[in-house]
Amino acid sequence: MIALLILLVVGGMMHAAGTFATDAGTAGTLLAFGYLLLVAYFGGRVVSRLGLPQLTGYLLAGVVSGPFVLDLVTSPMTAKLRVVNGVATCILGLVAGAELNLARVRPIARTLVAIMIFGVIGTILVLTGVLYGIRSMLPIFDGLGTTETLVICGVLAVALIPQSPAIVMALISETRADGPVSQLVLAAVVVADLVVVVIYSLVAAVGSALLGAGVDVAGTALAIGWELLGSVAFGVAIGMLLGLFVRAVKDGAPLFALMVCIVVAEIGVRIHLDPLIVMLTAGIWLENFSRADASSLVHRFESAQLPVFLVWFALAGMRLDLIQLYELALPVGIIAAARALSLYGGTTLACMQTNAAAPITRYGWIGLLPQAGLSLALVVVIQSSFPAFGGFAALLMLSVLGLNQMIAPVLLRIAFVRSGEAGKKVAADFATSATSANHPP
Amino acid sequence: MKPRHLTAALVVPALAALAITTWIATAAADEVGGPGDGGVDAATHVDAGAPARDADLGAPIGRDAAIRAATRRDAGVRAPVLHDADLGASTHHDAGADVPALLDAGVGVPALLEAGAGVPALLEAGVGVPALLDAGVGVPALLEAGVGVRALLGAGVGVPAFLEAGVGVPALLEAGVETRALLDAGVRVHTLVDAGVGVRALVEVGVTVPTLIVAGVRTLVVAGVGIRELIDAGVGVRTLRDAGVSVRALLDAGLGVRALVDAAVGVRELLEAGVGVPALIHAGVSVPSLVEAGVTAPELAAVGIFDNVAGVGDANSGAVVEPPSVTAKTTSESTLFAIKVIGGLVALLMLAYLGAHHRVVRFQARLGISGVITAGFPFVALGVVAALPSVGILTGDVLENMRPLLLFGLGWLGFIIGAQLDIRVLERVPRGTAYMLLVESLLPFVLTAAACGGVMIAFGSSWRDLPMWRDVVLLGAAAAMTAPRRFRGFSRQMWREGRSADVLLTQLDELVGVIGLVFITAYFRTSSTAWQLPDTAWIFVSLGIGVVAGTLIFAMLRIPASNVEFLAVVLGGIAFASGFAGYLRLSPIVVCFIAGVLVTNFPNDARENVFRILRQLERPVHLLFLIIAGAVWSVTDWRGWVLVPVFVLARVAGKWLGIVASRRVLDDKLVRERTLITPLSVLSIALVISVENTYSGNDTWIVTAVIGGAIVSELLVVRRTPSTDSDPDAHIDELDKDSRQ
Repeated sequence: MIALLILLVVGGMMHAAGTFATDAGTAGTLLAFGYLLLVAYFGGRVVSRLGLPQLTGYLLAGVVSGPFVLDLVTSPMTAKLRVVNGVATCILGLVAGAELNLARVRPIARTLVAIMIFGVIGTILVLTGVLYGIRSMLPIFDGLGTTETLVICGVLAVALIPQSPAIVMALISETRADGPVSQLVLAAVVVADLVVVVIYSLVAAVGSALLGAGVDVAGTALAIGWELLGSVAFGVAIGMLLGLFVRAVKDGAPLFALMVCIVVAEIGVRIHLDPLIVMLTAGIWLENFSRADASSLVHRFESAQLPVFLVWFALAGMRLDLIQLYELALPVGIIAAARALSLYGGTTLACMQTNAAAPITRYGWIGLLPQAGLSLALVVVIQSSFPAFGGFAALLMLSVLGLNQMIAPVLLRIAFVRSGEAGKKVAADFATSATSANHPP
Repeated sequence: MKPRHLTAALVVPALAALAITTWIATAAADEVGGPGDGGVDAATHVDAGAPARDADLGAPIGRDAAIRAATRRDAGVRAPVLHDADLGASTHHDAGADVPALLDAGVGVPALLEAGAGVPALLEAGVGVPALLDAGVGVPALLEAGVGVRALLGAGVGVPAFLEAGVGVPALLEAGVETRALLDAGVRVHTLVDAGVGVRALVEVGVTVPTLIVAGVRTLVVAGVGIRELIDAGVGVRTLRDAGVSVRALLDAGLGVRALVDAAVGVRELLEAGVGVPALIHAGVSVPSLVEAGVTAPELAAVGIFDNVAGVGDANSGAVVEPPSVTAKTTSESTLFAIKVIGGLVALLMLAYLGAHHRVVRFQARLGISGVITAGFPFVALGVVAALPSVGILTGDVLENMRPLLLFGLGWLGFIIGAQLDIRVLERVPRGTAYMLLVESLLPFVLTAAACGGVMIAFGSSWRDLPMWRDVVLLGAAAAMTAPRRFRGFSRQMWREGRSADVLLTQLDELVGVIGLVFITAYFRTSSTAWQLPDTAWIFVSLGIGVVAGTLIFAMLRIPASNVEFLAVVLGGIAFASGFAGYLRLSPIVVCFIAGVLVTNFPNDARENVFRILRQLERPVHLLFLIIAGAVWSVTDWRGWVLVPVFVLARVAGKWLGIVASRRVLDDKLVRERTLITPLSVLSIALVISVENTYSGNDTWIVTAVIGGAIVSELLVVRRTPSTDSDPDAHIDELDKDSRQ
């Protein structure tokens, strides 16, 4: 009740501010930040009462506040909040990488590889077929030949497949899940994103050549190589630097790590490196290869990530165009269903082939459903790579992504709870140790 | 009273305050026809006025009047139906009486219909279409009877009814139905396109380009849709080029040369479109490509590509030329610039962080430097250096991008100062405190304001200028506030029984600064906005928003279950309150100060958690302030340096007079503890930065006066007055220890 009243008051104040001036200015950015932080948090509280994950509340808060519903937060207000996206990606990458203990992943390596083959690549093929099957519903295919249609279907299928380490991390953090399912899911989504980046790059290059877009294939390959390998190399260097700081300076390591995240987020994209891969690699290095005790750094760092999560997911929710989703409801529904079924089939098959544990077989596929970061990045990339159909592809991808954002976290939360892994991890808290917190979570 | 009841009791007044604030906003927007409800009202007038026909559309009719007019119209339409008495039409009709005769006899249309009279017969008898519609005759029946679409439209039949009746879109368009009406009735865009509606017409009625693309429209450019719209909608340059858009048109639409080059538009075409050689080079076109496109050696030399023009001649003749990589240089220059700025900022913060290391602080203590400003002076100096044009890290743009952080910092400072104002503790202050506070704050305020005002007028400012008065009030308020002789962190200034009067006065006279800011932001407003309120009303808006924000934060603090969640709520609450204040051109310090006071003084058990969170943010906010203060400080403005001694002397004189006045009335330990020279409160600097942020004025000498005055005051304190504060020191670095405990 109190949470609802607070949402009402905050929303009312935001509306009142909107009547004062339309020019956002500097204060508009801070106002939007504070507003999104609060409505996302209290939105999460409200939906959690309904048995839904708080993450859904964060996203819903963004949807309702965004330009397609109440328009309380306008685009100019959030223009400067883009830095939050970059920093959030880096934080998530670092924490996700540090969660990936290779020693713990090794026993499930075979399952992981099988999931990549049957689950990820298999789903790409299935989606290609489905898109070809429903081409009459999609106006971009009008008047195109079979080869061109298949190429576009292939490119779209790859772009529609990415997973979301961010949502998986957020739900692991929220449910404090720990165990084989959460470990496998986290490893799978991280590896799957890397696989998708590589496959997309190849498909895009081939597709461009076949569609006569005049893309320099060698140049594209070089760029991909730099983005992937350069990011990994840069990530190792960052990991070593962080390890060195933790060992030599000790105090202020979380602040230092935050600074590094800002630098990577802002500079990484300028030199065509992928911030997610950079920080992911840094996290993996810290956890698995560094002599520094990285766990304290990462855990203190992890404990303060909630505000970033809140704003980031609310911003993601703001992008969901409900009108567009409604207009494309049928094809989007078919694609989302096909994606989910294919991931289910492929992952189950992979688990059965490798004799994975029963909970992994039963619930592992659900972790591959959520979409966020990489999908959003590909939305931008596909528009610039394929101007002929990129605009429509972006609309389709955003609609599928929106649907998955709303449904998948709910399913994943249920999976963590039913697998018995929820609540098994000890949480670190901000400004105090977990044991001394006045209000244990 | 249970906590939940208490919360509810507090939330309700908050809602009421919100309602009042919104009411004021709405009233103000109505008064000026602002972008808020004014637009809605205008729409209401038109909607209601148009059907009323006799209503004077030009006159500003009220909403009620419009509704009454609309009601009258409705009543008029239905009037013919009202006289349909049941006259036994069935009997008459069966008896062979013709329809006109029955109508003449007063039989109503419904009765005739019920009796089996056909619609054509009724029409033939002169019954109007509206009467038939009112009698329940459906659109299909009327159409079958030969009534045209136009006639039905004229009778008020809506588009959906036609669509339900199976009337095609082309027929409706032919009958004059507007495209917008069809869209509103749910007709799909591609149906309209198929029916021959032009793309331009669709765009004009508000159909977005993405929707058109989804609908498969491929002739957007041909149809005259704005190229900019298409680009914004994600249509690529190549698609536009394929559609026949010229390079010039693309450039006119705001597309950069770089984008055109990336889209493989030929260099020759770009040159022909009027793009200059420098722009092409800047966009990444290589010199050989330019030469291939026919750019001559003198043209290249004219833009400084080659020092050796003869070399280009060689290039033209096919000889190998090694031109400097201008493209790569230009691109890398922008990237390097970005890297320099970002790297510089990070380096700055890391340096500042390391500068606050306990060894550095101990070294400062050995030198006798322990005040809030002098201890942090290296950070101020860092800000000054980073803002130098030759260094170029904290440039105007960078500072502009940091302003949200600055606003947050101001709000945070206001909140933490307010949160320490515990009314219950202040009830136990020694007798005479109020009098002493009054004279020790007001006298420095008046004397400093008068002296600095005099100097400013001497420098050419006019006493008629409002900004001069604003600056005078600002300087007076800054002078009135004091800091303890040893800085112990922002969150450790709360007075308690047993602590010295120095701490007590420090805490209380910050109220002067807050009040000064309330008046400055109310009476010295510069920009015109939708809310046109009397100046005094802005005081109440400030107070109202502060109360709402405080109540809101208090209510919010009851929800979180962990410190991480506390962090999110405190951070969000302060950011929201600061942003709201900044949005309304009010001071975040004032709004958050009031919020802080309320949060502390409402009964709750979350105070310790709040303070723990605030302390965690103490170091970054403190450093941010000092660095930004340094960056906005124009040290070369000599007028500011002239003001420094005036400011310090006037302040000392004011304090001396205050102490003398206190001693005449009070004669106890409280007064004896007072010293002539006291350091300036850190709120003074925040005050200056806040005003500079709100007004972005050119009076940077005020910053010099306050920062310079603060440093001089602290140096004088160190030299003249031994520390009498018995509390142990707690420098910045000790905060970390606290947090680790």
